[in-house]
Amino acid sequence: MTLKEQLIARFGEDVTPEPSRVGDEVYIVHRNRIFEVCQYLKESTNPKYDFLMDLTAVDYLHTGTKPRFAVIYQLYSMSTHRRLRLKAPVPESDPILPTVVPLWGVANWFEREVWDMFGIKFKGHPDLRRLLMYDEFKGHPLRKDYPFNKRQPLVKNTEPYEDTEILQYLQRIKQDEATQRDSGPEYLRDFLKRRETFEGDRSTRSFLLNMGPSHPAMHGVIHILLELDGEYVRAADLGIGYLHRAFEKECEVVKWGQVFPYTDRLNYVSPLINNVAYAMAVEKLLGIEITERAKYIRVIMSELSRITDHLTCIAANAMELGAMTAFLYFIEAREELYNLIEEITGARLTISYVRIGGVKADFTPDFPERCTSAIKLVREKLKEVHKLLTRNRIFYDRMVGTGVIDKDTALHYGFTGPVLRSTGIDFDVRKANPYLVYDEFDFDVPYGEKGDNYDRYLCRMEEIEQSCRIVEQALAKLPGGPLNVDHEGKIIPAHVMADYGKFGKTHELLQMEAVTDPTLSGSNAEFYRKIYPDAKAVVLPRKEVTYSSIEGMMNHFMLVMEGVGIAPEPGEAYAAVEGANGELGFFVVSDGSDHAYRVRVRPPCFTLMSGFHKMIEGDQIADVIATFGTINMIAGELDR
Amino acid sequence: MQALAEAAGKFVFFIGLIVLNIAAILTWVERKQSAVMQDRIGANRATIFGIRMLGMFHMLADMLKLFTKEFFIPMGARRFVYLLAPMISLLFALVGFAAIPFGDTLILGGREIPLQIANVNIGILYIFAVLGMAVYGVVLGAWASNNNYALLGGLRASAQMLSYEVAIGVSLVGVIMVYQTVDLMEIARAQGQLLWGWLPQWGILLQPLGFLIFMTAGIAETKRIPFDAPEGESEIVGYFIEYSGMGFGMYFLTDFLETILIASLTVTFFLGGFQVPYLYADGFHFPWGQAILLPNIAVAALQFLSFLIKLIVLLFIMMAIRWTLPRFRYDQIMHLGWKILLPASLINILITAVVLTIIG
Repeated sequence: MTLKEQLIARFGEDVTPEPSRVGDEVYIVHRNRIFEVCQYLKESTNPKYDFLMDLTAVDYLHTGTKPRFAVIYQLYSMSTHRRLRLKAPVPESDPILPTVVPLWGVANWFEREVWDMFGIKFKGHPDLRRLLMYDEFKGHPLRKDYPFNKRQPLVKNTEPYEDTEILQYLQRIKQDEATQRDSGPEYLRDFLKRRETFEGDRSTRSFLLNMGPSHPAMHGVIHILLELDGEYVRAADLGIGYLHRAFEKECEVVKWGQVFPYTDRLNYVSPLINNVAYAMAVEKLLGIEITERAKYIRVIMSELSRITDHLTCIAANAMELGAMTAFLYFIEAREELYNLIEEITGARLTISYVRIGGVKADFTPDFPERCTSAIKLVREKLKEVHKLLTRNRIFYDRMVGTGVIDKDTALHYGFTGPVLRSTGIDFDVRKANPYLVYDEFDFDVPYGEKGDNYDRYLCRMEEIEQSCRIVEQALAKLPGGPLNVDHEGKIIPAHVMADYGKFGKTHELLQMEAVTDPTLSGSNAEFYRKIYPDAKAVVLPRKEVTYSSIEGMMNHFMLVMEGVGIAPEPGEAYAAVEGANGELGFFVVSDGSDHAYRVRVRPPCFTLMSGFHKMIEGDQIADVIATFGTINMIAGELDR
Repeated sequence: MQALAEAAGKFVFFIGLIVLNIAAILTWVERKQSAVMQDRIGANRATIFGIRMLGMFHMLADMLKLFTKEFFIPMGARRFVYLLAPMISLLFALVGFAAIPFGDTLILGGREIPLQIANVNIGILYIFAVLGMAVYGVVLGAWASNNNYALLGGLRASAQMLSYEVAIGVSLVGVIMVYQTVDLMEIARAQGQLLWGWLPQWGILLQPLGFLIFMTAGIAETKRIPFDAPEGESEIVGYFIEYSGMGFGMYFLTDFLETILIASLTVTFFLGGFQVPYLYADGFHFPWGQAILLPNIAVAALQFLSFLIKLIVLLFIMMAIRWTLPRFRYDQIMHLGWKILLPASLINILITAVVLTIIG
């Protein structure tokens, strides 16, 4: 039985398949049965869709679709590597549907985010409070009727502390505690109650420690509320959203192509991968195939980004454990890669390199050479850091057995990437669902056994080496690209054409096309031809076409002007790549206009952070730092 | 009166001119040495009239900054203890140097001046006392700050420093047994004798295990990486989290002074103190019979120089360790102190006792 038959046999009319233009498998589920459908898909169907990749919502206010909202569940089958999307329409009048938290722990945060952003409630959710916005925020920002430029005061309006008497201050703390015990947030109430009725030794009480958001190891953006028993962490609660910049809302007001600079700022340690992922999602929606050379370029740049990401992660981790020297060795290697990236993209961090339909610029002629030497440096530094850390007794003792997470918990919390692989699950999007040209390379996916910090460290170290291998192979195979324009006698440099004109040889010019470059000063237009497909709806026409023909001019005009431009047919598409931290997915919705209707990122470290408390409970304070380091939380993509 | 002037002179020379300057230079060395180790350039921005001096002026800049910054007392802090704590810390780091012999005897104008500020004949006990008091500055500062992080740092510091004092104490028993004295000057002098007629009797040769234990425990006592759990800048920021301005400056200086103190003690106990091999009160007498006679002032100068060179080499090694290793976790520090170093130092005593009995 196919999945469709199984679902319809079980749920009848409550599940209906929705045809998808781009080939995604989509079902519309009645909202009251969403829990049962998810449970059935997780436990009983063949194949089982046992992994919740993403959970989000879309507000269809402007498209006229009824009912107004739909909650989107991106499911994944770990055994067959197939994706499935469930849509549960939710009306505005009664925005409530059952929670799926009992099935997947990661749904806890996803549903909190949906409540926060859309005001959709989840029945049975254990702790439905805001996630990214602050508690005092009014409204739900991702609803279409919430103006994107509306401002709200940032903090609650309480009297400022007067810095007069210490006693007053201490009294206020006591009062605060009393009020919070009665009416504070649930997690705090819980803690205070537990502290009062603490079982066991009456002479010891646990105490609360606010780690972050202003803490050197929290990168300034994470708040971990730790309940400590001496040095040991008994419970933890995370607060995120300090770096929330309304990425998804901003994407809805700019044109499709203008989203790239925002994606740079998601995972800002490996911005190229974000670029690629977004471009792939939009290209899937548009149904265009990019050129072979552009695919290779994207792979090479993604892998370089992955190396910089892992280098930064391990380096920062070592630094937070006190090994400053290892940090700087890796940063030196990263610096070389940044120089390389800068040469190609023109920027070190906010690169905005990828375009819908290709990439911004081709490699420079000496790129392969420089890239090879950079990789050589990376390997040298890798060796040095192996010597400094891997067999270092102190480092080993700090990493082994700390921050442990087992396979089931990792899957329950939707972990992907190196953290999932460290538990022994061999899941890598590059292997499981090969995209671009990853299936043409020979590389290994390292995975661990115990799921502790040391395994994660080793996984990352090995992935650097594997990425180096991919880059080398890709460089060797780099295709020349389709120079599909007929040169012979037809194309001449612009200045020559102008000379012909001066001498009155105009009859020859009628058959000819002028060669100019975008700046009209040199002649390297060949590059542009190699890396862009011949898709007029997406790619800006070459400058010589723009300048020499009315069709080209109109094409260019249509693409850059407000109100027209790249405009995919209405539809929805989900595309995922293997980011440095795990699966990085983009879910894009188009209503046929030149603006994205909805852009949803599935940030890999969001799920990691949602399960972070599981990794630190029972460990010591010092292990929180080590674990936080190996998770490689990047606030840019976590808070968006 | 004369004795007082003598002591004051030695104090000014040794602590004022040597120790404090080394401490200041150490802040620069820490930056420059780490820079060399890490392929960096290091501090070189501070200039006076365009002269950079390899970034040496950063010491002055630091000092100026710390002195001109506001000394902030947080709400809820115990004001008196909070102010007192860094001073206690600094005081006990400084007075430790009083017992350290930095040369033998200098004859000046007919007076025999022992090159040691205070000639206490129970020098080792005095050192233990001073090291024991050092923990108060840290703990008081931490508890008076009214801050959970400081509290954690204070707890860690007290546990760590007290545990490692045990290891330090027991590891020195071997030294006392070998040289049969607790007077630091006598220990240093004893290391000038020769074993089998040619090998200087330095502590590191007679007590190699004791040396390793003392060094390890000593580094732990300074609360620097890899034993910087009380500070743990990326974890709990440290017991001095609330201190600013010169309050922090004092703790900062204490760190360096303690490093120098531990290094000086290691030199005194294990590296022959001020001894230069084959240098006696009247000059060199080599085992092969040759002799170079020197005036007393030259001998004293050579001895002092030898002490200084040993000290600086040791400081370099300690810095290199600091910039190479990651940090222990709190329980691992305790494990190392109580389950490894303490038994090892006890075994050291046993071995020493057996060997001494056999030799007679």
